[in-house]
Amino acid sequence: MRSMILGQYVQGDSFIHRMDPRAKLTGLFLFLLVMFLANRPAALIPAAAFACFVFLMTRIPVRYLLKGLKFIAIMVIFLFLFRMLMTREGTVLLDLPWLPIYEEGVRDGAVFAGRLFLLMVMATVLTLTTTPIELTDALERLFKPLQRLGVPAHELALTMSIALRFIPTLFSEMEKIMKAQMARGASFSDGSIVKRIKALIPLLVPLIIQSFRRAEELAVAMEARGYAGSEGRTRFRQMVWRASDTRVLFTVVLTGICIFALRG
Amino acid sequence: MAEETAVQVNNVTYRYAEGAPSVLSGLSLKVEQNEWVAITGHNGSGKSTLARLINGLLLPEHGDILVQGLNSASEDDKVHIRRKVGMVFQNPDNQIVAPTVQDDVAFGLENTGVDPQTMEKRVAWAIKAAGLAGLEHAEPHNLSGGQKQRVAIAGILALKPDILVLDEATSMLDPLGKKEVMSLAGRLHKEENVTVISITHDLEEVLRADRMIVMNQGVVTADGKPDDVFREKEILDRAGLEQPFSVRLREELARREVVIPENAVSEKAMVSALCRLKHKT
Ligand SMILES: Nc1ncnc2c1ncn2[C@@H]1O[C@H](COP(=O)(O)OP(=O)(O)OP(=O)(O)O)[C@@H](O)[C@H]1O
Ligand SMILES: [Mg+2]
Repeated sequence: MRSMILGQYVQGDSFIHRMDPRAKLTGLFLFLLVMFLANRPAALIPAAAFACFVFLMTRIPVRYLLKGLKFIAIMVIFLFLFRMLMTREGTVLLDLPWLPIYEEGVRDGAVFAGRLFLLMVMATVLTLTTTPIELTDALERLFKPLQRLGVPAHELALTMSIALRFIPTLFSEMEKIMKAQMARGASFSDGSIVKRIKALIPLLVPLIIQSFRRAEELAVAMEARGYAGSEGRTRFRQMVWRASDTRVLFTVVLTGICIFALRG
Repeated sequence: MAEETAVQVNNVTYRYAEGAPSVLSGLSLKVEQNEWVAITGHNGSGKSTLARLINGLLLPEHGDILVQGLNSASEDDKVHIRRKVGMVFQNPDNQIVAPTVQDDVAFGLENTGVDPQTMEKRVAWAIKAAGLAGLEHAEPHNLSGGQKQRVAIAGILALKPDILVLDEATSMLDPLGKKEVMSLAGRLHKEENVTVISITHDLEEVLRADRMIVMNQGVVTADGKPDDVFREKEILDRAGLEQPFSVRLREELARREVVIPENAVSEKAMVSALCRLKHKT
């Protein structure tokens, strides 16, 4: 159970680790936008080069990245096939009786798959180098200007951080309840699907009831510690946006210019 | 300021809902600055309710509560009262908010709007004072019960409170955890002059106090030095309390005409009194 905990972060002290998380998030978003400029596989080369460069800078062993990308690779291949077969323009490359493959289809599929793959690589790099707390904090700050429009940035971030705090606690509680039910003869691993789902009920009910109790006690404890919403609150974690952070964003824009130049 | 009464409860009545029986009925008590008071009494006698009234989480129906002269019912003073009174609750898991120790210790400071530079210093100081140095980045679910409760205390400590309320803060801990938490509270009491109000069923903990208050059905039924109160068997019986082992032992010995000095209440004092006895014979 412990192995499935969210957002694998790999501790480190690289330039990417130390970047302002706001810059990392903004950079990822910019990177996504810039990739839309590509309309043929060759135009994605600058983006791929940028991604490689960033990953090398994190100094994280490649196997971590590969582990995270296994599932994504399957998705990417699937997407490629799907796009390829759906597009029916240009010259026919391969005249299969049922599924003729068109030149345009291969191109379109490759661009689509390439974009998704690179985006996923960069997103993985983000979670590998940024702790979940830094991420929630950065999201709160980036969305703060929208608070006036009714976006509850602070509340959402707090909820996320409490969830992060309690996920491991709930997992170990679930394990405990599971063992208790197993000691009474319950089984979670055999029988039909219906039977297995039924077996989960005595597991989930106590867990949910317990969670409500926790939530109530936590709310009281938070109030006792002076919590009264975001107003007048200061933050322990400070974020410093350095010139180097701006430079990274600038590099993303440069990558965009290269992509534009390579358009077909 | 220093000479002001820490907590003054004047004739307070409280009920959770209209028509429900009153949980506190005309309760009055006073806790002086830098005192260590233990509050005990059986389940449902209203101890936790009293604790919540003291820092303004609940407001009395009748009567009033003054914390260093500030009325808990005043909206403006509420913030100050929350800062002065720190509360530690029973369940160590359900009072830690943040995903790491240092973020949690900072939580109260963030709420009161302390500037980041001061905050950093205070957090580091509180973590060290609570004996948690080296665990700054630890995640709560990897800590022991005693460590979690000390994180909770550190979070309060960072706010430099005058009064610490422990609501059965050790009841879910193992003996080692209990010891850690109580010795931390003891140190704060001595070194930082914190007033301690400890709600507890643990008789050993009661014996550490300067004074003990026994509650029964929402009123105070006994109030005095633990040594004196524990001799009043009748009151204890009514409140569903047992005499501590040392007191029972002394009375049992007295019946056999072995005299142990009355001030030998704590386990340590008892042991040394018994040893002295052995030397004499
Ligand atoms: N949130 C609540 N809503 C309604 N009734 C409550 C609430 N909390 C407590 N009570 C009731 O108030 C009475 C006093 O409860 P309180 O928690 O103050 O007792 P206590 O002395 O702390 O007991 P314990 O030793 O079990 O902690 C009990 O009868 C309880 O049922
Ligand atoms: Mg209670």
